[in-house]
Amino acid sequence: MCNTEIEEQNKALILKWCEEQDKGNIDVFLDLFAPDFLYYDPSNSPNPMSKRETYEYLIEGFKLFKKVSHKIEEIIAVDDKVIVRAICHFTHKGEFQGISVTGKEVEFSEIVIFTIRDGKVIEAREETDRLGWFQQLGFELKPKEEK
Amino acid sequence: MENGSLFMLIGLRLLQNNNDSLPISKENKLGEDDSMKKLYMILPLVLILCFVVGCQDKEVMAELEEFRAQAALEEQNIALVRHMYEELNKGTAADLEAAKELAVPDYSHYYPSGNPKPVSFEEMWASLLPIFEAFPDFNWSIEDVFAAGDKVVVRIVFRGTHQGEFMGIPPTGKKVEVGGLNILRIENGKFVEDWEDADMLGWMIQLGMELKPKEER
Repeated sequence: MCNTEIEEQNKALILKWCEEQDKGNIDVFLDLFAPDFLYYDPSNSPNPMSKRETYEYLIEGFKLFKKVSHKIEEIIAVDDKVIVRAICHFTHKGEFQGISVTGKEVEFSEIVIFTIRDGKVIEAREETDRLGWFQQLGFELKPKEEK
Repeated sequence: MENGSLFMLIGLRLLQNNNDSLPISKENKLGEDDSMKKLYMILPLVLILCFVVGCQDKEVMAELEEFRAQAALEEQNIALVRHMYEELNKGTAADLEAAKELAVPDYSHYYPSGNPKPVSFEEMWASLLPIFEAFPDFNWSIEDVFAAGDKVVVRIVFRGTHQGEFMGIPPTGKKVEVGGLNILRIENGKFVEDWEDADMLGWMIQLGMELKPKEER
């Protein structure tokens, strides 16, 4: 019952993060996420990214996007967690691993569990349909070549 | 009326403390007058307190009841999810019949979570059979689980050794660990639908595959 206010605040924090990403405003990440933030992608990653690493990853990633939009299908707040289920819609630009991806539009789903402490995100565990994303960009799975 | 009773008890205890013995001793005439005065002072106060607390009590009790009912339902839902994964870990075709009982007939499974074409419970189970075969020591473990309303969110890790052909890949003997996130909706103790995203790309990479630009044909 007294949880509800904090849960609403936490939900608002995550919604803001999604909105700002869609505006291309990555710098707000530095404010909304705690110094000891850890990013697990995949959700069971043995090497989560630190706040610094995540920020650099976002900056690099966003260089490939002309347009970003997160359509939130569902958002659930419970205790110190916020769970988001979303459809990401990206329009690409530039080149990625030798393929020109300019103009390519992709749509893929993701589920993220955020943990929030004192109004800042301390952890995110994510699963994304990354295979679907790459397939839409023009990649396919092949056995690793023996070298 | 727990709070009301508590105040009654406190009130009685106050009265008790003001008299050395209960019931009020008729023999101690000096003490009796004092005690009776105190009784007349304290009793109305106690009665007023009970009345006031009693009224507020109803609202608080109703809210508390709702909260308790919600918490109990969420606990039941979590137990159902744990049970479902236990069934999954047994993973023989025979257990499909037992597992099916856990879901409604028109159950929908969305994988990936944004898939516009969900599959039925049977179709979902059928897609698991190749996994049971290719990874005989398969296991889904629940790393984290929370309930909110009619939904349960679960973070799982799939583990298994690649001992049979899987998705066109001949057995490699490699041990895989694959993460997954699942949101399940439950109504009246049965699964109605679920949305899942999992690290399929990571699974394939662990089995020795890699992403290459599609060849022009």
